[in-house]
Amino acid sequence: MKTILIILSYIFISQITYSNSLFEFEKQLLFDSTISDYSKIVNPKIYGDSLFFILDNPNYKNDTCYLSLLFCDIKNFNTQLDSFELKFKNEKPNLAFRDFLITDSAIYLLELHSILIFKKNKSNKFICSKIINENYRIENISLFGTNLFVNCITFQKQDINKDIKILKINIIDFSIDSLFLLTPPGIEYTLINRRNIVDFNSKFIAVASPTNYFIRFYNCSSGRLVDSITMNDKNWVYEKKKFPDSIWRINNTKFLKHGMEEFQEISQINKIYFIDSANLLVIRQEKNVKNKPKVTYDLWNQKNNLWYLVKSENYQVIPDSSSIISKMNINHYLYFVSNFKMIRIGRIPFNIYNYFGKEFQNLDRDLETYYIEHDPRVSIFIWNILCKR
Amino acid sequence: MQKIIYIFLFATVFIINSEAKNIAYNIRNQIINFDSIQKPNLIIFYQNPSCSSCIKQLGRIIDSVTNKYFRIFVVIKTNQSALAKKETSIYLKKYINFSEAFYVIGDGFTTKSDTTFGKTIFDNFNVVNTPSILFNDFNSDVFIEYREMFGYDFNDNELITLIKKKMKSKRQNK
Repeated sequence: MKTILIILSYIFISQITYSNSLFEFEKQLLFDSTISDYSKIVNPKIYGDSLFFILDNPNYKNDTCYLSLLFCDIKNFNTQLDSFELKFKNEKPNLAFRDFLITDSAIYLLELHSILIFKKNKSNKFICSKIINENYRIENISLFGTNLFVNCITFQKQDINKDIKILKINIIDFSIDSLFLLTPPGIEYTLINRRNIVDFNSKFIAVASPTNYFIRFYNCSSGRLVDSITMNDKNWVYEKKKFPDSIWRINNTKFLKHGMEEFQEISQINKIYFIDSANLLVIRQEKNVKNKPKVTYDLWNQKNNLWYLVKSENYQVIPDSSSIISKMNINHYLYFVSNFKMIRIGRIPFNIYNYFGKEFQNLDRDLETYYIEHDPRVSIFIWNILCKR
Repeated sequence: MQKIIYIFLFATVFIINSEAKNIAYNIRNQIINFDSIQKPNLIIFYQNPSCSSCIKQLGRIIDSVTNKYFRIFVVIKTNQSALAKKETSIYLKKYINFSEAFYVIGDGFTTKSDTTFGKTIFDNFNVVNTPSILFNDFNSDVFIEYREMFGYDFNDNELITLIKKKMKSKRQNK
C-alpha cells in the first residue's frame, strides 16, 4: 500500500498569500415564491447551461409517486422553471430523496433506501425502468464510464468497519459490486446534519472523518487504500469525550443530545467534493466562538502523486451587522459543488447587487420588514471555483 | 415629562412581569396574553429540533379530540427573525390546520425563553420537549407533555384515547 501522508502546519498555510480568491461570484438566481422551502431543494447540479434540482416534495396517488426534476436556464438568468416528471410505483409511506444524476439518456434518482433508474423513451419522457433497493442509507452518486458509484452508510452494531458501503452498478446489465471502506472517526456526526463525507472521481473514492482532519483515498476499482491526507491544525478542536459506540450504535437517538452539544464546540469536516480528477475541496466548520460560526474552504491539488493544500479561505457564516456586503461574504449556509461551480442556497428575496458595498444591517432590516408580510423566497447563488485544471 | 414616561414604562413592565404568565408574541413582536384569548382553544407547542413524525401524527388526530368550537393555535419557540418565524409556521401548517401562530424567543437547545416582558407560556408550563399540547376550555387547562403522548409509540387511536382520558380526568377532578 502506498500511503503518502502530508502534514502541513496550519500556521504555515495561513502565512501563504494568494493573489486570487478561491471563488469568483457569477450570478444570483432569484426564484418566485413557488419555491418557498429551501430545505426541500435536493443537491442542485449544473449540466451545461442549466441548473437542475429536485424538490423533495412528492405527490402520492394510490401506489404511485410523482416527483418533478426542475431545471432552468442559468445562462440567461431565466428563473422560469421547467420540469421532467418522474413517476414510479411506490408502497412506502414516506420517501426522502437524496441525490440524482442526469445523462443524455437516463436519470438516476437516489431515495433513502432505493436507487431509481429512469430511461428516456422515444417521446423524450423518462420512464422508470429499474428500482434497486438497499438496506443502507443512500447518500450520493457519481458516474464514471459505465459504472455508477453509490455511497451508502449505516451504523453496524457488530462489525463497525462495515459502516460505509460503495455500490458499483453497471448501467448496462445492472450487475452490482460492493466495496466496504474503513469507518472514519466521528461517523456518528452524520446523524446530526447532512454531510458529504464520501466523494468520487475517476480514480479515487475519498472518505473524510467528520471530527478529524483526515481523508483516506481508495482505488475506485479495487477498493484498496492508496493514499491519505491530514492537516495538523493547531486550532482544530476535537471532541472532549467520544460517545460510546456500544450505546449509540444500538440506539442512534441516544447520541443526539451529546452530538448537538458538541456540534457548536468542535471543529468538523462538513463536506468534501472532487472538483475534478486533481482537485479536492474540503469544507469545514470551526468551533463556534461567541456565536460567530466560521466556514473554511480548503482546496487540495494532486500533483506527481502528492496532495498539496493550495488555497484555504475562511468566512464568517453570519457576518457582523456592520460588515460590508461583498460578492464573497454573502451566504455561507447551504453549499453544493457541481461542474466547477459552488452553489449556495439562500433566502434573500432581493437583488443582491443593490446591497453590495452596504452594511449587512441594511439587508437584515429589509429582510425583517419583508418577511413580516411575505412568504419566503429562495435565491440560488453561483460562484466559479478557481483552480488549476 | 421624560420621568413620567420612564415611570409609566417601568410600571407597565412590572405589571406584565408580575401578572402575565401566559404570554407569547405575534410576528410583529406584539404581546399576546393567552388568558384573554377566546376559549375553548388548543395550543400546540413547537420548537426546533422536534420529532417530525409526532407533528404529523398530532395533525392527523386533532379533529378527533377537538370540536368545531375549538380554535387551534401554535406557539413556536424560535429565534427573533421574522423569516425563522414564517418558515416554521409554514412547515407546521402542512400538518396542522391551525388558525394562528404565535412565538416566544429562544431555541430548542435551551429550556429558557426570553422573559423580558414576563414569563412566556412556554415557561409557565415548563415545556421542555415538543410537540406538547394545552387544552383551554371554560373550566380547566389540560396540559399534556410530549413524553406522555409520544414516549410509548402509541398508534393514532391509542393517542386519541389517551388525550380524551386526560381531559376527562381533569374535568372530573375539578
